[in-house]
Amino acid sequence: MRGGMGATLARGAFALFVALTFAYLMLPSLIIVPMSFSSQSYLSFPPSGFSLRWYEGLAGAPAWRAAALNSFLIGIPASLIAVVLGVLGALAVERGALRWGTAATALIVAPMMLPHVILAIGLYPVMLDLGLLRGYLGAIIGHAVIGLPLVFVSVSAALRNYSPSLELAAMICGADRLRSFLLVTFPMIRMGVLGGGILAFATSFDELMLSLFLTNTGTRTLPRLIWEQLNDFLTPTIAAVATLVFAFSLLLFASLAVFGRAAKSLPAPPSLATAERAHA
Amino acid sequence: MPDPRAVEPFPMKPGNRGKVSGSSLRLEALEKHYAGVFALMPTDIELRPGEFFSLIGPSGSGKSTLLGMVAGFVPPSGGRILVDGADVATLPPYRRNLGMVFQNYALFPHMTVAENIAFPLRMRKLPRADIDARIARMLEVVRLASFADRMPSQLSGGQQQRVALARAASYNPALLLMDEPLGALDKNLREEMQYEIKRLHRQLGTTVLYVTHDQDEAATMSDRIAILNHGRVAQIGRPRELYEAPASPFVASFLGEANLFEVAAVTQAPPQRMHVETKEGLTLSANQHAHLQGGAFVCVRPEAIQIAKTAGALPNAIAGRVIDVVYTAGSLRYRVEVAGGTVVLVRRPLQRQAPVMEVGSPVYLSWDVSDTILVPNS
Repeated sequence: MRGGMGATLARGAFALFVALTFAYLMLPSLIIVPMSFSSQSYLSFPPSGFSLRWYEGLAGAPAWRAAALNSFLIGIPASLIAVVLGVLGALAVERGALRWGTAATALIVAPMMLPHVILAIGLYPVMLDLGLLRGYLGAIIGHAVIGLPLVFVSVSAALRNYSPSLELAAMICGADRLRSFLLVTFPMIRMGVLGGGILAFATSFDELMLSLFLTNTGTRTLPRLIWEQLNDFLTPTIAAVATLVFAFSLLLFASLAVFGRAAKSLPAPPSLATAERAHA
Repeated sequence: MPDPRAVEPFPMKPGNRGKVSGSSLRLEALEKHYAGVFALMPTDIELRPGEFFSLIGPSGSGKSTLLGMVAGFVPPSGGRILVDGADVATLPPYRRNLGMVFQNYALFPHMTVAENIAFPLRMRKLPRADIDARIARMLEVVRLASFADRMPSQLSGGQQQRVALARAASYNPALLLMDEPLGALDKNLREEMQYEIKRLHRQLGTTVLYVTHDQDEAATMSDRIAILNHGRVAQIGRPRELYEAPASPFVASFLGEANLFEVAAVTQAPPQRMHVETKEGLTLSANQHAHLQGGAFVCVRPEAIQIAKTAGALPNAIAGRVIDVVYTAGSLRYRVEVAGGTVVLVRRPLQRQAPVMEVGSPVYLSWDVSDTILVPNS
């Protein structure tokens, strides 16, 4: 074998590089996990002792429960709005042959590029004028704005993945626009819709800046409460909450991967063998 | 008015060949322009019921625009689209009761073969038993009976296109539109599918509007052909008419190969003959023709030209020199340089006894006067 030793070495070096990259990406988030099981009453690393008291404390604290509920009350409607508008926008831009399609894309994607603090400062007086400041609706609208580009991008990609002639074929077959969307377009893009929706929800669930500007103590979300508590008490309670949020986010993305695999396995992968057998 | 999507009673009794007649299609002054630029000049075309009609032309000639307007994907800028006399120009695609086969098959990838064929039937709310009967019948027609439960991704390109044909024909559409349906297939499969489509056409009797950029394919399959160029119809006719009596130099060179010469002057040459002086300085003989005059073109097909070492008995005998000879399947293609540097294309069937002219050898080209075809300069 030619260069067996060198090849093994190169493969080992590459594996190390990949492992280091993963560590670089994940370690800062993972450090919070052991901290949450500390028996000390302040945030420390490395943690000393083992205790579940911070999780027990969480269960008994109404403020954390209320904030978690708020995160869902804001995140779910916000991601649903983002999904509806994002799908419509992606359909218009990808299939509509719009003269101003590029401009529309830039506009829709802008909140993804824009620093959230700028968006928050802009939304603040608007929501104040509309009387929506500090209520759920204001935060829902704000979070829908940052979720929309995520849905738009993932659905656009899904639409670009298959030929527009499928929709034309559906219509020629006698399906009106609604039925061709429901029976042909949606089954094609549903992974993009689901993925975009989960991303939009996860973004809302993690979002701090807009929540700082748009919510109050009654409507504050988990990230906002974490932020407030960080200023006052540096207890491992924060680490426990962060660990739960982290685990929940992981769960969201894992579910996306599972759905993705299920969807891919639906139409059997084209294999040369079956095609040839079919042809014979 | 009856629902245009209504499906006629099951028409395809085995052995009942061609008894279902298709609809007629009449395009009246149909036109399309984008911001003042014409994609299709006002165009009149009429398809007879059951006719296999092809649109051919180079890309950008307007053939896809025309098909798009008939399908309902492209709103016309003006004119009428009459299917059996009723104007459908303002109807959406799903109300036109058309069938269409796309170049990329456009099978729904998340449905099985049977579900794909059932789709238009479900849209028409046919009873389940009728749908099942039609699926079985269509699968039989396209010879894929055992493939009902396969996914499209498990089929070869040719099989997918046969499913697409079955789906498009399952509801006896008024008109079957085909947009370069064989464009994605390789040559051998393409020829096989040409026969398949022709067989289906004979069997179902549907009127077919077929778009292709392949002239040979159009000539093989069509009853009539419309050649489009720069957004207008250059000529409509049977394949043989277009080949033997092209209406313009464009048609002459688009359908098959052509040696085109521009006419400079014409003199009478009894009996019933004319001498044609070409711009290239050649003198050719042609049959008496009233319209043969300066400015027109004459066309000589490469396969009409004889090639020999000596001047033969035929009236046109031009001396030249072979500059290139190529063997192709079944024939020899010569490029012969004649007086004035003009290059003439000659195609001869490959016969065992026929001598092959070497490159550089002096030869004579000759052809019958009736093979000097007049081409008006339009």
